[in-house]
Order: sequence, then structure tokens, then C-alpha cells
Amino acid sequence: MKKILFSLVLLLSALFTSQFVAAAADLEINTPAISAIKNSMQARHGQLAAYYASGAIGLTNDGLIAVRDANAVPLKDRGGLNSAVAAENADRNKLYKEIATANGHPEWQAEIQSTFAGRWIDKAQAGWWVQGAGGWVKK
Amino acid sequence: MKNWMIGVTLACVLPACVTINIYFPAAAAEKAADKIIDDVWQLKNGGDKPNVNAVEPASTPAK
Amino acid sequence: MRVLFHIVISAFCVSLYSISAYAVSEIAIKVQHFEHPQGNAQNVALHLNLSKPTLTLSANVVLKQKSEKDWIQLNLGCEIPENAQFGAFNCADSSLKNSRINLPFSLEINQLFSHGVPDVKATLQLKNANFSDEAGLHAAEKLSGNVAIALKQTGQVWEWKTALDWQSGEVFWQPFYLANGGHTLVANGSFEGETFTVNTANLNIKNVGELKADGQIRLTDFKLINLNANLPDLDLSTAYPLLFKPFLEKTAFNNTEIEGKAALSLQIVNTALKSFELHLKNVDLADKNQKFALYKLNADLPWSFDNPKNVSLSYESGELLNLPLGKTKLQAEVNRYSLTSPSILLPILDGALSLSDISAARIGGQWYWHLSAKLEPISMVDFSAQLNLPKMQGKASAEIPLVTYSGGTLTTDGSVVLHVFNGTATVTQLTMQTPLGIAPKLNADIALRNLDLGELTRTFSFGAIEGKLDGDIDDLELQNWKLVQFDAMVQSSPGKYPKKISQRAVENISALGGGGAAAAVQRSFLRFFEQFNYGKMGLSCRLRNDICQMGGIESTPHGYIIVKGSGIPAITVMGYNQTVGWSELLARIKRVTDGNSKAIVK
Repeated sequence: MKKILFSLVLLLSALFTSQFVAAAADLEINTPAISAIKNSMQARHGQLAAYYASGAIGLTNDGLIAVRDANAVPLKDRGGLNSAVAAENADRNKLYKEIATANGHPEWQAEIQSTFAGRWIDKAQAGWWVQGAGGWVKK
Repeated sequence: MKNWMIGVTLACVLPACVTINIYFPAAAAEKAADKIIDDVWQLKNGGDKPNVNAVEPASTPAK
Repeated sequence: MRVLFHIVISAFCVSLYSISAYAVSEIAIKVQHFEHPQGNAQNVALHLNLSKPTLTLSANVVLKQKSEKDWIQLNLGCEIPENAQFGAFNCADSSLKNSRINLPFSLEINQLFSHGVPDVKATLQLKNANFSDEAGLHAAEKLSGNVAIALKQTGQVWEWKTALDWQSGEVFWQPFYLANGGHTLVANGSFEGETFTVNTANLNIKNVGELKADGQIRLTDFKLINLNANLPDLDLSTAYPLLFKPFLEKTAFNNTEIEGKAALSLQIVNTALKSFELHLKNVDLADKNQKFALYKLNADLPWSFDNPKNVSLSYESGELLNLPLGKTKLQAEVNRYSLTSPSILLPILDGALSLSDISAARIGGQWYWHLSAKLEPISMVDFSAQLNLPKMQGKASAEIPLVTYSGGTLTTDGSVVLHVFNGTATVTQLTMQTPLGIAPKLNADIALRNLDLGELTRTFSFGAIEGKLDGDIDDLELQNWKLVQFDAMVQSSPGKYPKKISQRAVENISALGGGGAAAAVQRSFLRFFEQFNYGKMGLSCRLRNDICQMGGIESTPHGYIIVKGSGIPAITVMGYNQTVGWSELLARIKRVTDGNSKAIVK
């Protein structure tokens, strides 16, 4: 009887340790595809940073960005604003998909996207606009 | 962290312990997100690169 | 129609000043609040001055449409010439204002009625007008221009005529942006009920070209019912950013430099595109990210919903992912949403890609196509030079019975054979995803047979090795043209041939593992030998997550054998580390081949 109890404890602890290892393991984010997308987004950020600050665009609660108030941008740049937002969102969607596939779980894409959504908003600078439950909020 | 611990304990107390659920690694995903966001928004300079072992063949003279 | 006319007048006041026995010189009317199903009005103030030689009327009113949020202030200052016919007046100092709109204008009405029916002739002049909708997607700044309008009622039909002269100012009308004035529009037509008809419209966009159009618009949803449009001479360098780029954001053509001329005509019948014809004349187009380019492109691209059409396209030269494309002429038949062509020949370098039995279809906004391909031998010397690879001898050729493209993925059924290093590299199971996108992906299996190690090591300046190599690289995956995954095993080919390895090569192999081993050779008596015989060599690597699981031709209790010596003196190179960081290994190989020197020992 004692033996059985002992082995059960052993089994449990083994499960715990393996679970712990899995939980602590990092997600793979160093693939060339992810790097390429990251570089593309990094290059675009120079342009987007001014738009975030002026409130022309904001961070949405689904991990993307959107035009919030195009009036904050001179007329001649509004077409560029739209295409920058479209390109950024295409990259972001691709990024979430790539992270999911790079880790062998394409079905994680939606959860990765919602994880990012929270982190983008948390890390947004003061003065940027983010989408809350009730609409746009200035951080 | 606590949530999955309870989850695992429950799963093992119940007889249906055999099922293996690949759960979403929320903590790791947050860490990955932070790393990528820091890079894209250039919030931090540099990060420590994981240390990997390099190949170490050695030549030994045979007779 | 039930007319609901609900007027709330909270204060109504008519003041008659200077009342004398013979004349009223001024009339002022004030209404504080006025409600109507279409909208509301507030603070209405009308002021009519009758004393001057010409009558003057000033009106100030705050208006709001029911659907709008903001009130808007309308100010009119008009003169009514005494001797003029009824309905002719001139409102020179007028404006329309709210937080987002500032439209100073002058309105000259020459006529309102003739023979008792409405027959309006008027000119509206905008002076430095600014407006914007709430989202900022339809806006203008410093807009100045003239609009002449003529409107006449005949029975149920209103006939209209307009001439618009946009003199200066910028306009953003999602997704279009016009930076400057100089554009004109002359048009006429009629409207009746819900249909707005344009009989002729002549739009001249400065520096871009001229558009002639006629058609019908449904006023309830502003949908084009019928349209005949003709743009006979478009300058693409100015037309691309203005007219085409906004629609190409999600395609590979969203970052292109383009020059040349185009002519476009199209017909819409019953709200559906019926036909179009696009001609390109001497067009040069180049992707700014250098993914592709085509020069001296001429094309004749007709399309019709009802009849199959022949399209043709030719270019003098081009580039695709750094590979030069030679002069090409191709023809195909387009049948509604599908395209077929018996054969297309694309010269590439000194060879050509010959495509046959081509069939493509657009279904649900996605392209699907299949064809069979044959690559006529192209020289590896040119090929490697174009792709900035070390100069390789040999020829590449391929025969792929079936190439399919669906949902952004290119799949091949067949093999690409590269005759390189006096042996062959056979690529099978080749698939590609978004080759022109930001993170292209390539998967393949590669079989290497009888590669000449002598030539191989000379090409990559890795110390001379004589012998032959076989290898199998399975489940290969490239992302953004970088290796991320494979199961590879390369080893000496079977058979009898000279097998020699130079001391230099041994040092370089050893240097990959760090400095210690190389130094060991240097210290020992082996340094006196230029080269050694070997029996067999081989290396395997299973690459996953930037980690290479390594093996050799044989396993030993603590490691694996990379080079097995034979004869005297025999040298055996052993590997001990089973897991190796791939990036670090690549960096070391690069150091060895680049400098053709010893690795830096830390």
C-alpha cells in the first residue's frame, strides 16, 4: 500500500516537473520569417510613431491598428497613412500566424493575437490612443 | 501560474488523467510578445543572446 | 407623401423700422427655432434693406440636418438689382461655417425661372475653402474654383449642365489625393426620379490625362448603373500614385515605380463590369524593393464578360528576384475569369523557362493556376554570379510536369535537376509560399549524387578535399531565403576513386569546433604532411529551432566520426558535440571560407 502511494506521489511530481518545464519554455520567435516581418515593422515604426503620438492612429483591442482621426495628418499624407495602416496590419496578422506555425501549433494564432493585443496596449506610450471596451482612450 | 497547477492536480485526481491537453503557453506567449514589441518599438537596447554550443570536433591521429 | 410640417416658433418678431406714410425702408425677421423632418434651424435672422438703390438682403441662420451632429452657420449677403428680372441676385459675401467647415463663397444667380418654369443659371465661386468630414477621409484645404450650373425643368425631367474649374487647393477623397488645381470638368445630363444621367462628361486631370465618360448613377445608393469611360492617353508616372496605387495596396504592385503611357476604356452595364480594354505603351516598371522589374512593356489586354478575348504582352527585358529576364512575347486567351495559353517561353540568362498548357482562373478573389514547366539548361556560372553566390560550374535544367498555384502556394510535381560540381542535385517536392511577399517560404527535398569534392572545396575555398559526395537533404525549409529546417546526411559516394584530404581542410573542419583541435594538428608531427588519405567521410545534421543535431558516418561511445582515416598516416576527425547552434556554426563556416584563413580562436 505504501508503495502504491509512493509511486503515485512520484507520478504526480513527475507530471508537475514536466508541466513546469513546458510552461517555462520559451516560444520560438527567432525564425527568419519572424525576423523579416519584425524588420519590416521596425522600419515602418519610424513613420507610425508620429501618427500614434498625434492620435491619427490607435492600437485596437484585437492586436492591430486603425485610423482614429485622419484630421491629425496633413491631406497629402492621408493616402500614405491608410497604406501604412494596411501594411502594418498585414504584417501583424502574418506575425501572429508565423509565431503559431513556428511553434508547431497553427491553431494558437488567435490566442497569440489576443496576447499581443494586451501587450501592445500595455507598452504603448503615454499620449497614444488605445481601444478600450468603450472605445478610444488616451493613455 | 496557479491556474494550471490547479488544472493539473484536478486532471490527475479525476480518472481521465490519460488525456494530454496541449495548453496555450500564455506566460511564454507574453514573454515572446514583449520581446518582439521591444524590438519593433525599440524600447530596449540589445538583449542577451541565448548561449548555444558550437560544434567541437577534434582530430585524433589514428595508427 | 405625407408632409409633416411641424413648426415650433418660440419667438417670432417682425420689426418694421422707419414706418412712415409712404414707405418701409427695412424689414427684419427673427426666428429662434424652426423644426422640420429634414432638419432644424435656429437663430434665423433676415434683414432686408429697401432704402438703397439696390435692395440688399442679409440672412444668418444656424442649420442642422437630422442625420448630422453639428450645427452649421450660413451667412448670405446678397444684392438684388432693382431693374433686374425677378430671381436674379448676387450674393458676394457668403459663407458656410462650423468646426470642420469653412466655405467662403459667392453665388451669382442670373436667373431662377423662365416662362414660369424653373430654369436656373448660376455661378458658384469658392475662395480658399476648407472642409473635412469627421473621420477626415473626405477633406479639402485652400480650395478655390468656379462652378457654373444650369438647371432646367421640363416636365418630370431636370436637365443640367455644369462647368467646373478647380483652380487651386488640395483634396483628399478616400482613397484619392489631388495635390493641386488645374483640373477641369465639363458635363451635362439630366435627372429624373432616382436616376442621375450624365450625357457627356469631360474631365481633364492635369498632368495625368483626360477622361471622357457617360453613364447613369442611382441616387439612392450612389451606385454606377451604366458607364462608358474612356481614358485615351494616361501618363502612368502620375496616374499610378493617383489612380492605381490606392487599389493595389494588397498586391505585389504596391511599391512600384512606373513610367510610360496607357489607354483604358471600360463599360459597366447594369452595375456589372461588362468589358474593358487596357493598352500599355512602352511601360517601364520596377519594384522599389527590387523583387521584380519589367522594361519596355507593351500590352494589349482586352476583356469581355461575354466573349473570349486574346491578350498579348511583351517586354524587352526584366528582372525577377535578381534573375535577368530576356525579351519575351506572350499570348493567351481570356475567357471571363479564366486564362489559357498553349505555351510561353521566358528567356532567362542563357537558357529559358518554357511553360506549356497554362491555365489560370480567378475564383472568389484568389488566383489558381497550373502549367507544366521545362527549364532549358542555364549556366550555373551566370546563375551563381547573379545571385551573388560563389562561382559554380555546370548547368541547371528542370522538367516539371505539373506546377500548381493555389491560395498563395506554389507546388511542383516533378524534379528540378541541377548539374553541378560534376554531379547532380535533384530537387523534388518543391513548394513555395508568397515568393514576392515579405517572408517567402520554400520547402523541398534535395538529393545530391556524385558531387566532385575537389570542385566543391575550390568553389567555397575550404581547403582541398578529393573525392565524391552523395547526400540527401529532406524536409528542407527556407524562410526569407534562409535555412530553418532540414534532415541532412552527406557522405562519400560508393565506388572507387581517389580520396584525399589536405591538412588545410582538416584544420578548417577542426576550426569549426573551436581552436583547440586545429592547434593539436599543428603541434603534432602531422604538420609535416600536406595531405592524408581517408576511407570515408560524412556528416549529418538535423536542423530544428536553430539547433543542429549532429552525427557522422559512425557513432562512438562519446561522439561520432566525421572523417575516417585510411593508410599511413591516417587521420580521423571526430565530433563530440551532438547539438550545435546553427547560427554559430554558420558564422564559423563563413569565417573559414571568407578569410580562407584560420578561425579566430577565442
